Amino acid sequence: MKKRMLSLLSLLLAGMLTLTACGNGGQTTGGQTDEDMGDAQAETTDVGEGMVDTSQFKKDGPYTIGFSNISVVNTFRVQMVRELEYAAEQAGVTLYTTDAGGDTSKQVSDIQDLMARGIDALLVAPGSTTATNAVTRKAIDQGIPVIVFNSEVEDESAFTGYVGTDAIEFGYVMGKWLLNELDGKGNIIVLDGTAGAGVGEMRHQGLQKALDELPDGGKNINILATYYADWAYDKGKQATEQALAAYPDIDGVWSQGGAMTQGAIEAFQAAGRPLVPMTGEDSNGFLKLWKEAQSEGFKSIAASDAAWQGEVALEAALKALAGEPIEKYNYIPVPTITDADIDQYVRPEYSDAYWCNTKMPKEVADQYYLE
Amino acid sequence: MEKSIKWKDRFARLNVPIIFWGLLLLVVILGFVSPNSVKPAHLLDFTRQAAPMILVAIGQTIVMMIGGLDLSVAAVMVLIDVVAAQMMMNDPSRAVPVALLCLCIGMVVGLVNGFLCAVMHMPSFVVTLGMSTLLLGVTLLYSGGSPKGSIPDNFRFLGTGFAGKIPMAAIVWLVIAAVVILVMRFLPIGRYIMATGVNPMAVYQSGVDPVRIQLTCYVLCGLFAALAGLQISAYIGTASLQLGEDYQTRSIAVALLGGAAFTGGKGSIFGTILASLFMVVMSSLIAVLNMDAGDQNIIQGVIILVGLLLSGMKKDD
Repeated sequence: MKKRMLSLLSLLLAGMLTLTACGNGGQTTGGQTDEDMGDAQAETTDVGEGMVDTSQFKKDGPYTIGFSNISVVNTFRVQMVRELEYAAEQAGVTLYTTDAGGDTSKQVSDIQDLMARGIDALLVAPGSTTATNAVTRKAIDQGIPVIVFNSEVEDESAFTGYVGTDAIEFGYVMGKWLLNELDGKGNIIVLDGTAGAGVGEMRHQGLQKALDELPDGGKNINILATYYADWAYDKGKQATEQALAAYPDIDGVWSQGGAMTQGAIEAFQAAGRPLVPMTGEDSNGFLKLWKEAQSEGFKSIAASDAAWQGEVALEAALKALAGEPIEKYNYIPVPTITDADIDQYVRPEYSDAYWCNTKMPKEVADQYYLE
Repeated sequence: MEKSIKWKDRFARLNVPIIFWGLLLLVVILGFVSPNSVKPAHLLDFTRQAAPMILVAIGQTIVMMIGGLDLSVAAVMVLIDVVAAQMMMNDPSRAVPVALLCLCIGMVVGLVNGFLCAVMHMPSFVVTLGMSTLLLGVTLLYSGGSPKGSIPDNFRFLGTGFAGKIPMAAIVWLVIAAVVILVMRFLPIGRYIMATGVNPMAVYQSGVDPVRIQLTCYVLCGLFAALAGLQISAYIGTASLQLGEDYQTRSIAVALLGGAAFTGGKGSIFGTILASLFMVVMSSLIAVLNMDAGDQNIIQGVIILVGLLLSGMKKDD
């Protein structure tokens, strides 16, 4: 009996383990888009539309700024932090950085630690839309302006300003290009990120928006299959191999991550199938492969999440400390790289981990990325 | 009546792991949904795609046979991929020495895990979880967060090449698995591993030190995680901090599906291999069904739970 119970228990545990594996969500973002900007405008009409009055934060330098980051476990975020650190150095401010290692509750205590160290402004790259709101509200009460960037939070009273790209626009830009390449008709496969992850879902919504905008509402675009490949190279490659076996006619690949697109190109080449238009991201690994494959007639577009957005967030914080009005929502238009200008961006001498849409000067990038 | 019993007996003697029928069923369903997916060439593709999972899950199964658990295997795989790419630097002459070094790293990690679990009597769950975090830190430190380098073509052949129509990756795991199965079946160590999982005292009384057996199992698990990491390196050709994170939990699920149990003393290398193939075919099937994220996860969860339930029933016979 006892043994039976034990084995049942173990089955249950195993099931739970697997389920967490399946639904292993990444970071989430709030659903706030342009429409939400209306509220912010209403309360701050005296400093201009969509602007926030920051006179309460006005302070003399030199400044010490705290940066609470949720995690650095991918190369994009690593570069995002490097660009911010470089910008802080250039601006002559002291930057204290904390890394919560993906743990949202640790991020809350990180922010408390930063406040205890005596910071003049706080930058937050949050891991949750809600977890940090109480503590950042407290920071604002204490006269510390809070700039949230890269990923949104839900409560407008919990931040002074937001900086980031719009994930829906990211997917939309890619989708629009791909549908245009295909003249609005054909079979495509979709390589998505992690199922249930906010950014991934929003990028996918962008594709849907591009489909809806076609004159025929996307009727002639057939999405053969959607693969959740976790933004990972190996999974993107496996998924594409499976798709190539299942479908003899694939006219395009909408991939929302550069590493997955790298995998997709390799899978097409290994299967001896001609390369079709595929969307990608501004990771150097993908750009190098794209450049090589141009001779095979490969076409692509690389959308970018702007690795330099931390610098924009820092600028906003410094403006707030100077008492100048800042934007409540500063959406950076999604930068793109196309077949026409890829040569300006690709760095054959750098490692795959470099993100090409950068404001880091060459000397700084050389230190980190030269192979 | 008598005849049917005989048939049943003969069948039972074959001792086919129940997951085999699950795998067969999935392939048949896949054939109906997407006939192209079950053409021989793509079935061979499955044998390659399952390679890293098979390798890492063999190690996990061995540790689970002694009643342990290794939560550091995925972290080993990522570390090995980063070390391999960064040290090979696309230089074919470095492929072999670096690969050997990587295998040593895996075994050292396993040795430390084994020392803490078997000699210091710490729970494997906590030890290997700590090891996983530590290795993640080492990986980030070593790569500075942005790993460099790439895998030379001669080594990539093991992950992407073909011998005739057979993927090299499949040959790699077939050879390794054959060795493991033969050792487990015909050498005394195989019996001792199982016996250690059931009753270490009995092993001790028969004159074998169960601590040594446990150490061996953790070292083997580290070695197999390193082999899996190298297999992924050969497959993708570059260093990536974002390898399929689910190798960790899935390696445990696969071992359980193949007949292992958290209580130790059970498990089948053959069953684990079939269960790894089961996982690959399942993900292919779910993708061609073209459902949204929620449904995909629910279906995956249900398939795995049903599989586990069936494997569990078989074990208690």
